[in-house]
Amino acid sequence: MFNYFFKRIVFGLLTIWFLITATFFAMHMIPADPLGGDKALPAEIKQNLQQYYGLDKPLPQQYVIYLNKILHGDFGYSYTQQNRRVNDIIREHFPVSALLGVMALSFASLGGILLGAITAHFRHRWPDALVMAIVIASISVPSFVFAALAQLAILGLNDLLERPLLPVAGWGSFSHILVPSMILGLGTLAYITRMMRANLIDVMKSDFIRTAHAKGLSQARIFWRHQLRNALLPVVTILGPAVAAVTTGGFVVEQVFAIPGLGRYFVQAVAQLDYTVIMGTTVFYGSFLVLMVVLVDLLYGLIDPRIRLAGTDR
Amino acid sequence: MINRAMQTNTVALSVSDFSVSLRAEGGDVKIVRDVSFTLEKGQTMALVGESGCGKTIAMLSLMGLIPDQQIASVSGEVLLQGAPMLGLTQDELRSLRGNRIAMIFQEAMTALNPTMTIGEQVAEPLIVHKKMKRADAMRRAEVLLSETGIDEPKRRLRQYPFEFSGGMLQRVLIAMALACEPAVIIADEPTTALDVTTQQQVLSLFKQLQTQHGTALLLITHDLGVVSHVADQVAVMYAGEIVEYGGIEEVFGNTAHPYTAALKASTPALQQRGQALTVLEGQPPTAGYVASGCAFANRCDRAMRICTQTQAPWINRVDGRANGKADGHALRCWQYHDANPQKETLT
Repeated sequence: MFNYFFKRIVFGLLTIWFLITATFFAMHMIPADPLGGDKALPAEIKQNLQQYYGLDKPLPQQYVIYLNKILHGDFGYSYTQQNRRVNDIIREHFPVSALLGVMALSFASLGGILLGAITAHFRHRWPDALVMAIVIASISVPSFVFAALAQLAILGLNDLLERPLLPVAGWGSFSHILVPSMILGLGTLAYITRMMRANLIDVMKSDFIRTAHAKGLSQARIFWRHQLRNALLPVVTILGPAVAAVTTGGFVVEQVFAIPGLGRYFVQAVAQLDYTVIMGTTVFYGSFLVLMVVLVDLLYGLIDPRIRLAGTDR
Repeated sequence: MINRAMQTNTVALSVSDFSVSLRAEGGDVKIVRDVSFTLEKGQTMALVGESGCGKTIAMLSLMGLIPDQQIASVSGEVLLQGAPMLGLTQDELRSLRGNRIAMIFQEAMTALNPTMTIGEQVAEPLIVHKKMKRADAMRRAEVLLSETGIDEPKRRLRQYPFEFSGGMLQRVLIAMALACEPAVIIADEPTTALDVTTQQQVLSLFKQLQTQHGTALLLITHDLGVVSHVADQVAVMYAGEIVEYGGIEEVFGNTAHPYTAALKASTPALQQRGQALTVLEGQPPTAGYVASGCAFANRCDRAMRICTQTQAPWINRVDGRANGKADGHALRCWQYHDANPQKETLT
């Protein structure tokens, strides 16, 4: 058990290192200059700035300096926003993205489990067909389409009621989070629904469910105590990738709903070639994802006795 | 009157003219045909026959474990301790299952929920049927486990199925089936997946628990070795119907039906070392096949012309009379009819 997690953590760190290196060199290979900008800077100022950011040094040296800084938890200063440290940007804006993400994931998991149970129960009948059609649409259509449609719907609804029921965009209260988090979680919800449906149907056919029927248990007891837990196990494994889907999806949804999350800064930074912000947010998100995947592994071990007890007994 | 009262006291399960048709593409298929038998309290009856002859379907549908949408029709009469079982609602059946009549399945390894402890699973019928408190049910489960020969039951209660061996899991299933002290336990090939020594242990356990609790056991099997070891009575099934029925000594000692004889002949024995095994040629008919005469006629080496035309009635083995009932030692084969059937048909 301990060995297993140690290995996971070492591989996680290696992944992060690879991510840093790849992003660093890929970024410097872009044939553009972060100090180019719209207004041409006088040569002297440009030289000063290059010196200030260390851009005049050879690339391998820049890489070593950067790696060293990151090891000390310092992501450096932004190139485009004066006197703003990347650490501050993350500290201020990540909680917004995180809240949105947590809401989206809760919506996706609870909704997905519920819809999965409904479709499995009504399999091959119309409620199943209806939900599955919506599910396929939600997987195939990108979230910004739904985001725009949702904004239109909110506008229409507000017009109809002649008072603002929900805000169209912005940030600040629960009503601001509601619709964006649902849009953000939609793809994951669809994925979990499909998975739950398949798992539940699979479990229904298994021998131990027949045993449960032979014991004279009620349908409800069989569902809650025998079917659900066994069907949930595989769903837990996709929660790690689901976090990834929600965070990357968040970039777009934050943009559409004008939410001051970290994703917006990430997208902006790429457009402006703000080296330090791109690097900082990429490394931060990357590490966050690796952490989530390791956590999910741990959680899986806690739920499944076969993993939890492996190697501890006998 | 007195006779009848006594009968209902000692008969655990009585099945008469039990037929089951399942839905299939291209029309309904009659899988089980006019099955009749009585199972006395504390007795063991073996239901034997080749794979696919309808043994399991018969018992599953008797228990109400086949989904309604798969069943085309069920007819006949099934009495559990004198009370009818057919035509009950799902809720009524549910209160009988695991309570008055329990069932044990073949694959012990997969028959238990992998994510629940052994204790929870054994205690479950007690909580559901006997309305026991969890703690009481767990204490009872501990006793049941030790009764079925599981050491350190207290520790084992908290373990999961993957921590048990196949033989131990079969014992757990038996403990679970016994939990509510049912009148009847149906065991579907309970020893097929076990090695020979474990088989013997499990069978002895069945016998011992039966005498202890007075449970009637209906054993579905194709292993005649198992049958001779534990059964009091045997019903031989072929193509969805019982073809020979009687006490173990009568059916095995005085085998009459050519099918039973063929089954017996194909069981390997030590004395036959070095000889080729006897094989019953051909395949059993596909499910739902309706022969004009006896379903076994095309594989039978003693078949007569009448066998392919009309099916024999129930014939008493002792006097050769066709009394229409499966009593004592009886079979459905023209060979044993007192009037000579060959003459009847050869004119």
